[in-house]
Amino acid sequence: MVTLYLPDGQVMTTSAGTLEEILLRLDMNPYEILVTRDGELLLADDEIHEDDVLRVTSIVHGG
Amino acid sequence: MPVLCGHCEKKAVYVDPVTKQSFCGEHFSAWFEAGVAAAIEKYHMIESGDRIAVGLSGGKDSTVLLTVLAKLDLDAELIPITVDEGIGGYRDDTILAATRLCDKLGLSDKLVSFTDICGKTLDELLSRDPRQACSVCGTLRRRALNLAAREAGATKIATGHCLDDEAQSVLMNYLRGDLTRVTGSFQTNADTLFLPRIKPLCRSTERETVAYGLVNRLLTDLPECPYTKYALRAGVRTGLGKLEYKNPGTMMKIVTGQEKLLAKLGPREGEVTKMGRCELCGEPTIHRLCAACALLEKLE
Repeated sequence: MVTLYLPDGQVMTTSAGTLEEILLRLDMNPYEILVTRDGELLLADDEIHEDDVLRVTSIVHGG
Repeated sequence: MPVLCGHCEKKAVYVDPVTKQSFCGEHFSAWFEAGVAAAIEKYHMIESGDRIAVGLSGGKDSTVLLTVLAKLDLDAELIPITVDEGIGGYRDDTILAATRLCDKLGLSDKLVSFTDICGKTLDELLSRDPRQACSVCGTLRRRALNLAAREAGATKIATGHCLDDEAQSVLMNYLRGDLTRVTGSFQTNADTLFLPRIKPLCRSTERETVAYGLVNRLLTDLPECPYTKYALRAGVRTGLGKLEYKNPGTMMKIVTGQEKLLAKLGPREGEVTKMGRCELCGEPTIHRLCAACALLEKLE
């Protein structure tokens, strides 16, 4: 499974696919989310594989 | 096949959704910095010898703003100012991030707190009703930044507002039916009384701004402000974010459309409302009390 570390500290798992497919599957707006894998920023079309660990950053701020 | 940078053979880390240009980290950073420099030039934001007070919260936008301003070849002095609103479990971490960034850039950070300007923390001010958090915080933060910038001898104040914030403001004026703001028809002499504010990220999207922070490893994991859930803009922001995803460039069109509207309306004729002074603090205002003092009086 793919593991995602969310900005609020939660951890989610899901199956493989492109990054955009994964974000839409998890009901996240791809415009508002940036994702890194091993510190490298990923593109919407990048393939995410089983066992990948992703760090999710929301572009949304308070105020 | 991975998408490659349009300028070299490296894997792309960012694709501009409007122009479809692809960039590796290095070329994305150069493109982003050039965009900020172009906005500064287009809107004549910075003049030689300026002392720019930079609002530095330690969050994503202001971290990127200060980093890029420090990197650009500006003939201006940067004075980072951090406002400590007094938000338990949140602010200490972001203040630490701000201090670390200033150390890294060789700049000296000035700290001003809500306790300094009104004797109470934001948590204390909101103890009875946290729902108005963002308006209270925004008003007092502006006050704190103005005072600290003036004390530091600044000539301008730079904030991390980006294109998304600008588009949200335009849309909110329409949603409120606020024709005065939409047409820019309320004129005061505020420009001569307050330090001018500049927004060097005003043509950079929030997504580009945060991407710059990630690519350059400027951002650390920080807690979210506990009052974010009360943000007035939340609905507008979510809606605009969905539109931007489906129709890239929507926010730029909203902002440039507003600029075109104001240009078409031409120079506004009519009376300029002269600002007086707040009865309590002496700050410029068109009312008996300035926004900050009126707010504090209401919260008492």
